[in-house]
Amino acid sequence: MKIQEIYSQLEKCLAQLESHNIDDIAKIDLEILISQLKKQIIIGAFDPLKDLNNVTVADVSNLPNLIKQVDLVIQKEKERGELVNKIVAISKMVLKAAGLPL
Amino acid sequence: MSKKIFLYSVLIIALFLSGCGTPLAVKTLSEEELKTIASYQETQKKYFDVIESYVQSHINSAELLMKAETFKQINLFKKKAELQLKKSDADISAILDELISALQTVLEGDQTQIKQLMALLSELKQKHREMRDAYAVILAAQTKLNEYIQLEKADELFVNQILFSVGLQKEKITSIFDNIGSIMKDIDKLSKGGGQK
Repeated sequence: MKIQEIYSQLEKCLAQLESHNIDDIAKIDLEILISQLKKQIIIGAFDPLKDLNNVTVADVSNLPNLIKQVDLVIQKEKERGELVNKIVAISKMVLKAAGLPL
Repeated sequence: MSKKIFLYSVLIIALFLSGCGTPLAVKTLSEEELKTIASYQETQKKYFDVIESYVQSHINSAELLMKAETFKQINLFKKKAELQLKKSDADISAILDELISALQTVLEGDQTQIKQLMALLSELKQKHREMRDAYAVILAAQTKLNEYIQLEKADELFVNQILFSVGLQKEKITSIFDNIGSIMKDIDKLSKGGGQK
């Protein structure tokens, strides 16, 4: 039985007591119990948040190292590019001197 | 004339061997993907803010409802004590002790439960922070990958420079290669079709 169902049953019970004009300590205890149950229902609305513990965030711990590695590759590629620029410039000069201007 | 033919041949072979660099479609996809990831990061941040604010509001409402119930309970405990005191054999001290103990339990219980809710909110915020941090790392990785993809590689640079020197565009050469490939396929199909007959 769910807490809401218990709550409904107790409310019905209280209504019956009231309809018979019963106003004793037992009825007060029942009202206190109903009120405590109401509080549990209010608090229970947040229960789904307890599942947050089971939510795991993607492991990205490897990525920073891999980023560094790619960064090195980029630096090397840039250096190679600069070298190519130099080689092409020299080649052009050599070809020009040899009578083969590009 | 033969020297020029030799040079152009070398250029075309070099271009062929270089693989013609990173295709434009790949570069464009990478650039657009990066923009989307960055934009999604903003969406995620706003979404988390909304959820956190929503949960905070619910906790505030819960606190108010709990206070109302507590007020009701205090009155009920008082009423119960009054009824007990009306009895002839009433133990005044025991009834008052019971009342004080009940009220204490109610008030402390409220505080504990609100604290638990606030702890859940903190946990939610912490989880959001972890997700945001992880996403920032993913974005950084994608940015670095994109940087590499957009980079003009050495072989590409070499071919581009030579082609530029002789007044050709890489796209034109690539297109010529594609056309040659297409013609080769057609010839192949025709020759196979002819063989069947």
